[in-house]
Amino acid sequence: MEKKKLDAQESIELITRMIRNTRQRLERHSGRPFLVWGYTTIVISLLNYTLNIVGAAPEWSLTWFLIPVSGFVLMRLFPEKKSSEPRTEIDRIVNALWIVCTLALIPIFILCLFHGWNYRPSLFALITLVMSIGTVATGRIVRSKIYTVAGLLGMVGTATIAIWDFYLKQLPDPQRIDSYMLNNEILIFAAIFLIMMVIPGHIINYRTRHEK
Amino acid sequence: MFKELNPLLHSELRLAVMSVLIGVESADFVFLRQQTGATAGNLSVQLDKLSKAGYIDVEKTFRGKMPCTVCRITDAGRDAFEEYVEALQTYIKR
Repeated sequence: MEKKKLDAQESIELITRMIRNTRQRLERHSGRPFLVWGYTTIVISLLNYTLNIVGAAPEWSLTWFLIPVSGFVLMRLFPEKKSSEPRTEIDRIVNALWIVCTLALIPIFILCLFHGWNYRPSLFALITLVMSIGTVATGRIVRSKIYTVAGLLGMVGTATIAIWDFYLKQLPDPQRIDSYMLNNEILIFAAIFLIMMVIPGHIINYRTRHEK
Repeated sequence: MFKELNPLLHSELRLAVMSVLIGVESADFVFLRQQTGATAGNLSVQLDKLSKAGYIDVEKTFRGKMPCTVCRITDAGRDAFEEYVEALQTYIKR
């Protein structure tokens, strides 16, 4: 780009082109947080599923709190690669959205701590609903069909938890509900995170790698 | 009546830099080079001119062990850019 003088039309075209190029980055480099939180949640969920099936002491359910702890540690250990790309207004908005979603999870975790298993189905559904809202909103903001669809599927999964819970309550003989049936909610919970975070995270990372 | 175009902004590279910086919080030298396609020497000279005019802040820092020059638009730069676009509109509407 030389030091040439422009006419008015060229100036407008230049401004428009530069602003458009800067905004084209949108969904790039956003896969890693989804993978970290998705895999962490799935691993801890399967751990708790196994512990419940083998009849471990209820105190082991405190391992659920490994999700936020491990997630934050892994995010520190595997941060986004520092690229030369700047932080745009869209980055700021998406960041603010996930901070709000994280804050919304705090009262849910406090509920888990105090109520334990009593409200378990509702708490699973609350967590997946908050994460689905965050994912759909991210998809809409960065104009990513993958995240939008993934978040909507997360909402469908949230409804599945509610339907499964409803089904259990409708059973004529509560004695028929065994630990496997109860713990199926954990499997649904893990499956939601697989569909909503892990698969889209891998797709976005694959696309980012092959764009270069 | 045409408004006078700010001569400092009415140059291809300086206008490109300002157009990039208007949409981001900050951008480093490498990104500005990629976006504008300018040579390092030319870009460096133009950044210096914008900085001396008070339109951008230039911060020389390090990313790891690598030197890194980060630029961000100032309030004065934002005002000048808006005035420039308003002046341009008087030419386009004609």
